Amino acid sequence: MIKATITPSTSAAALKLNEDGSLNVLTSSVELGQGAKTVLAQIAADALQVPIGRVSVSDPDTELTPYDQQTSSSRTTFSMGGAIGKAAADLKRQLFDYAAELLEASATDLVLEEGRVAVRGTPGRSLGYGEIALRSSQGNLIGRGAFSTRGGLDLETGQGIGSVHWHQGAIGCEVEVDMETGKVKVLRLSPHVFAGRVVNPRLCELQLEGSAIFGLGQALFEEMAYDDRGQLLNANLGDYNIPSFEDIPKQLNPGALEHTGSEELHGIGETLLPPVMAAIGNAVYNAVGARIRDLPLTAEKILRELQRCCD
Amino acid sequence: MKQIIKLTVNGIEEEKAVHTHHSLLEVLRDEFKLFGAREGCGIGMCGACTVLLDGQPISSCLLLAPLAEGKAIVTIEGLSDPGKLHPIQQAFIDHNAFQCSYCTPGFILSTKSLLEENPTPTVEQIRAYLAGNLCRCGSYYKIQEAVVDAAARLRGAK
Repeated sequence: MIKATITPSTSAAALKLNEDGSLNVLTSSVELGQGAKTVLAQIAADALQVPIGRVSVSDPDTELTPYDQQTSSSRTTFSMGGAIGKAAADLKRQLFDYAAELLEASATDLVLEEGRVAVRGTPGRSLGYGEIALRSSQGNLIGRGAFSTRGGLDLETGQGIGSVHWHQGAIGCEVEVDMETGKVKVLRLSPHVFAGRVVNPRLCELQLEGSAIFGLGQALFEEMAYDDRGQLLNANLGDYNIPSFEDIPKQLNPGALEHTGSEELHGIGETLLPPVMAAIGNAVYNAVGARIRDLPLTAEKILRELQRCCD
Repeated sequence: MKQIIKLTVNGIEEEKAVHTHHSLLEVLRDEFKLFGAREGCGIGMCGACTVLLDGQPISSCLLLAPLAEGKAIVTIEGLSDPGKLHPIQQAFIDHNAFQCSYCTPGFILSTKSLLEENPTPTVEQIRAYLAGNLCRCGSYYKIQEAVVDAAARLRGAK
């Protein structure tokens, strides 16, 4: 499975350093439960050597927070993370400029160390970030950065850059098909994705597990049924079934393959969803020879196909 | 037509004027401002509205509020003492057992009831008991880890 991320795109962020040394990340990225706030806080904390407990991430408010194109397309960690990286570089430069004057040192001799700016090799000569902000008389120090990608396809020729980078994933699947009822049981799922540099492994696992389970429902029982006048017949959770605890395989083996040493952040949010249905369909074909090309792969469809081709 | 009823929620009895056709879920959210119980489906299929009624998990979207008079209602907000999380809540946090967390209060309350009935559940028993709580984000594996861990914590094994 190869997936694009929307290109071109832009994310912007601001980092507000407060007089107590705490850091506010100002961003329009939306926290849905995917962990955007956690990951963006990690990136900011890491870039500026601020303890993560002292980093807070704003909610989006287009009146106040810098521009973000959208929270979708598996782009937040990559794009907003990139913007935060640039904002951090801006803030670091300001910290060094003020600290150089206050510490009577050259900016090239300064390093960031756990919330302090220090003169390299001279542990006694350092200043806390909050103190630098205070003595700068600027109120706060604010770093800003925008991360934007170029590209896109020519609307007439279809040529150009379809995606600034490609998301890749694959999933292996083992199923059991009841030959009398046609019912499919998914025994094992192994979703793997290329992840570049992983910022938060647990959140990656949750994305992979979530995609696999969502795909299982799409593959086996989710269907919107319409009558001949276009009225939706099953708009309730009694008649439209989504996977429950009893529908999932005993075990899932999610894997986020990292590119060691790579700095490139890579989205993984949606990548693993589309191949799930194909993997289950292929596994059913491998098991019983029934090739079904429309979802969901219900027991009725499988039985009908078994009877058709094996009679 | 409104009727005055007395509901005991998280140990506190209060009088509320409610419409007799309102569900316990609506009254908990609109009158008591307890937003932990959510409406996911309105027909008792998803478990997002789970509260404990005399210790039993129920779908509060299916119970008319006046019928809850005289019962002890526990919502997620009443699960822990102030400033200290219940071991089940702590286990869910420690295992990242949620994404959007819409289903989480329902899962935690159902888990409380499960572990009271069966302090040493197998994985199959956990899955069967919690099959009535749906998680669209697909956090089931981490939820299972959290429940197994919570069971151990409650048994004092940790």
